[in-house]
Amino acid sequence: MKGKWRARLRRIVRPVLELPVLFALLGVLLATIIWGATFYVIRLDGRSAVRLAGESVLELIDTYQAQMMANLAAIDQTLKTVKYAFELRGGHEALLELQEKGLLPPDFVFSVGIADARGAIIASTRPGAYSSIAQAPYFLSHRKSEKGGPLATAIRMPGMPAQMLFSRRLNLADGSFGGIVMVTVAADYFTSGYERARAGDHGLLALLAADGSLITARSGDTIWEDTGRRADLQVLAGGDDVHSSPWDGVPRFFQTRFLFGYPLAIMVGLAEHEQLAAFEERRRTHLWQAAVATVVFGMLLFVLGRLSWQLMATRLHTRKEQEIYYAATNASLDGFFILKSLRGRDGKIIDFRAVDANLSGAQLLGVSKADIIGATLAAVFPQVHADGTFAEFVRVAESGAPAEKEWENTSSWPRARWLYRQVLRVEGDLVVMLRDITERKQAELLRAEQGRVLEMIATGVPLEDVLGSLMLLVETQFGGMKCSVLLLDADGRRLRHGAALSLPPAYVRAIDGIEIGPRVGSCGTAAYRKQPVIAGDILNDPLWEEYRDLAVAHGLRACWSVPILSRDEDVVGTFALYSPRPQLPDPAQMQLLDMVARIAGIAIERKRTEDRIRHMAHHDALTGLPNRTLLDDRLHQAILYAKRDRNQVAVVFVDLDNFKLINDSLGHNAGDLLLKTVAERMLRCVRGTDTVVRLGGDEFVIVLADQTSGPDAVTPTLEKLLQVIGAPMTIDGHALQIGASLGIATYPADGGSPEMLLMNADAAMYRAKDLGRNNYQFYTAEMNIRVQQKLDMQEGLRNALARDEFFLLYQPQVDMHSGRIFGAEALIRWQHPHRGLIAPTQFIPAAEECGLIVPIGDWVLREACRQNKAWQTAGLPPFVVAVNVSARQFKDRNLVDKVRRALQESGLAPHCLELELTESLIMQDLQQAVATMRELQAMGVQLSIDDFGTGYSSLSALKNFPITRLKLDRSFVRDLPAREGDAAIATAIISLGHKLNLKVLAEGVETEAQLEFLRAHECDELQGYYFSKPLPPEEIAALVAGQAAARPGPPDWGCGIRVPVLAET
Amino acid sequence: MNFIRNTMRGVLAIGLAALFAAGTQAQVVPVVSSASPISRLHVDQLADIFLGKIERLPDGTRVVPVDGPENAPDREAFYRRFLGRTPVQIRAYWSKLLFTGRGFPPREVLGHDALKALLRENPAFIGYMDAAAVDASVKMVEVLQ
Repeated sequence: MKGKWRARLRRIVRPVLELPVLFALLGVLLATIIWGATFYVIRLDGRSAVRLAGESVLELIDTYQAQMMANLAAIDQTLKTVKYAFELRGGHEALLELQEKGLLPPDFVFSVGIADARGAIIASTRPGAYSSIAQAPYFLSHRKSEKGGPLATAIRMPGMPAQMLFSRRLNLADGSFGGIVMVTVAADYFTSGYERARAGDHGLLALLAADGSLITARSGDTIWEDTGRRADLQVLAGGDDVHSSPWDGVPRFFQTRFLFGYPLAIMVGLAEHEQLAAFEERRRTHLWQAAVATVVFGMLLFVLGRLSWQLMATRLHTRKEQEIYYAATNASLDGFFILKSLRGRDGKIIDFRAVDANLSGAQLLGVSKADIIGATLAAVFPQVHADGTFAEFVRVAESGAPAEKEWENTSSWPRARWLYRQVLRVEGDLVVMLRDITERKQAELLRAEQGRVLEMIATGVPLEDVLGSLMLLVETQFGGMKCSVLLLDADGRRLRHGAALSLPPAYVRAIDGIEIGPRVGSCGTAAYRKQPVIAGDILNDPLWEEYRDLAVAHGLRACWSVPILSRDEDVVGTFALYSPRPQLPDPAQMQLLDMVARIAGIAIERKRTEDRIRHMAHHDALTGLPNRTLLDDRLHQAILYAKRDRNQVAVVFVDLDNFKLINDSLGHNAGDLLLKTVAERMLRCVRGTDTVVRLGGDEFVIVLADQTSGPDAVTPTLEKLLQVIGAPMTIDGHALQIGASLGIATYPADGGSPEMLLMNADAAMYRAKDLGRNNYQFYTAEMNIRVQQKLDMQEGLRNALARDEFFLLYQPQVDMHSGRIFGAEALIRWQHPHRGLIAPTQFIPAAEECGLIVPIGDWVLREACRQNKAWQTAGLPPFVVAVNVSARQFKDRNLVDKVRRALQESGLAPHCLELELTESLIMQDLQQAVATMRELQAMGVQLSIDDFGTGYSSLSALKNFPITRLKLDRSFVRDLPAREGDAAIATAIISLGHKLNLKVLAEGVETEAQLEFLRAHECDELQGYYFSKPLPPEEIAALVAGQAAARPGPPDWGCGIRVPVLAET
Repeated sequence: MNFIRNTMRGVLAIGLAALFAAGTQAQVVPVVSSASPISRLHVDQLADIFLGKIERLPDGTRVVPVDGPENAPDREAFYRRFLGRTPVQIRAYWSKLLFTGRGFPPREVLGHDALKALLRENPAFIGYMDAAAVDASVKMVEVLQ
């Protein structure tokens, strides 16, 4: 019951106890007190003021009464005196005497008068003061009877100030009515005692008749009389009440007294506002003070209240923060400790005392919270001084700068291996935060190791080392376990030893090469299934049935295996962990295994890629043969061995004959296939110790190492090579047959270094080519000379063009029937400064080889055009100049432009230029050739086929050629008319040409017999020594001019123009 | 400008005063018995005497004021001149004192002769009369302002 009340009370009291409320209440209380007190004081003061006023009025009226009585007494005395004198002396003499004797009151105030029994004035101190009083009521009253006392009468006359008349009866000697004696005084005389000092400015002195009518009243200097209003004398009797005066309405404190013995009353009033003026003043002051005090206190309270409220708010805030802090620290997984510094007498910190710790902190240290709180730092951790911890704490406590540290805990307590601590200074205390970062750190270390291994992989550390590092990483993480890496063979069937750190070598050997399958231990199965295989207990695991004994014999009771996958998700190996006791991995361990397997996969794949790259770097992609880079290596090695064993090494340079032709005519695919076929065939001819290398294009080099005897020993091999290369093959459906030119150089005879040998073999190969191809040539010293010569030739050619060493000779072409020169073939000659005249047969091949044929050919073209134009300009009848075009030139895309330009530059008419093309040239790219020919034809240039009959022309194509003539090769002419075969061919060609509407020109006509034969068989034209050898331009000119002169006839309508055969498209 | 105006006023005042004085020819002066040791009085002293405030002079001489009759022009002139009060004021003054019993107005004598007789009788008396009426039995009191 009491509790309930108490609770209820508390509920009420509590909000009240809130400071602002308290302050408000206090304020109200204070205000109440102040104002209460003030009003109380005011009331008391008021009361006392009133009382005082009352007393003052009393005093005043006492005085007034006394004065009044005194004056009345004096007046009565005068009356009596005059009465005595009258009754003694009689009449006015009495009065005069009295006056002289000074027994009468001052004249200017009082006037005395005597009236006789009839009412006539018989004496007066102020003549004229009295009029007849016979009818006055007082007179009549006196006459009536002896009053015994005086009569007081108020005389009110309109327009005149009131007067008071006091009278006594005069008796004659016989006691009869003798008249009256009168003393008259202005009524206001009775209020002349008004003193401002006592009555104030608005006090009141009044003389009233007993009935309350006013006789005279004075307030300050104001006198009023006869207002017709009566005062309620009862009400205005006195006391502390304030009434409004009936005549001027001013509230006054009144006192009224009846005058004893007279029908008069006096009234005294003190103006309320005057009496209370001081009080009012005081009251105002009090109120003012109260107000000021209220305001001041109010402000003070307000300020205090606000301060206290703020304080409260801050406290609340602080408390809340503290609560939050506590909640946070208690919930936090980190350990929090609050330490207070203990200072020595010198002010330096000597130790720290723990004043608080959270649960996590206690847990971290493995003690209870109670154990920590109150303990000093050095007592709990004795090593804090030694390891610098104490110094650090002191630093933080002094400077306020926070400190943090990560460290490995080597001692056994606390249990955590890696710790992180942060020390802060907060409000003079030290806050230490301690965190167990073992997990994180280990993860970090693991990551670091990972990174290291990856770096190893990236920097090309050998695979074994990488795998070794990986295994070390794993074995450190898993204490007691042993790793194994197995690599899958290229055939994908067997697992081979990759790396093993701690496994027993015998075991490693035993499992090397096992085939993968569904029940081959952990690794074999893992590789087979492409999934991790965990054998927690080998003894009971069905997968290990066949290998159980082996494993157990080596102390291995559990095996966890993860397949190592390549990027393409192919198995490249397995990574396995063996344990000496049965156990299963936890998820963290499996994760680690996966990660390691991934890295191993990367390493392995990298190695594979490296190997592949290296292989690619050293081998030809197409044929798979080693390439040039390997050649030097192999050759070097072979030479070393040969040097050591005193053997020989033969270097064979192989160049396929006419490969380009095949490549160009059948396409590159066919060419590639051909090369591959050749490569294979060549490989089959050589031993394992020999090396077949593809240099590039259609060139190969074969290193026949370990030759015990001389160069001839390799001859069978060479023959064999030629044979296999020359054997027919089918490429792309085409039946082909090619040959090869082989050049052989032997170590040590033909050179001591790879470069030398290669060079010489190359030279030998050229010779073989020169000697007609499809043969082999051993290097001889003079081959070098040849090669050198060739090189010199090429060098010379280069310069010849620049030095204008070339010149053209022209061999006339003659019409068979007319014998007229219709044209001339331009033949190039080289005038070498040292070597003299060099025939084209000598330098043209070289020029073709090095490509100089093109600029030379261009020059020939331009020169021929120029020359022809010059002849025409000189007045010779126009004729054709024929220029040979080489294959290279013809292939030149700009050929047509060059021809056009040559014509433009020279100004020669196109139909005066003939280009001689060979069959093989055309056939190399028929389509292109025909297109070019048509272009040239469109320009107006004449075309002919040179050396007809010796090349591969297609007759079907022939009929479409836009050509003018066929030039029968000299080989067919040479043996005419004797050789039947040649004769047959010659005639056939003539016939063919005619049928195709072509001219046929026979080349190399040297004898008459040949001439006759040809003429007989209607050959159209001839060219040869029989008629003329090639001549310099002047001689041609002379010849032509002579002809023209000798046979004037219808002028040749120039250049022997024949309308070319229109091609059927 | 002011100076001229003031001078004009001054001249006018003197002229009027002279005229007045010449017209009335009534110069009221305080008088004492020729036997009286009093020869001069300060105007304040004179006022105090006639207001009943002092009975003796500083040197101990007794002084008793005597008034003329109420309506006498001398009286009015005297009070007006030396005390600076009107008869109404005098009456009010003495009414008050009389009423409150604090004082008594000076006795009155009717006429110069009565006054002179009184003065001869008692050199303590001091009165006032027309300067023209002064004879050997009385002496004028010099009034210091």
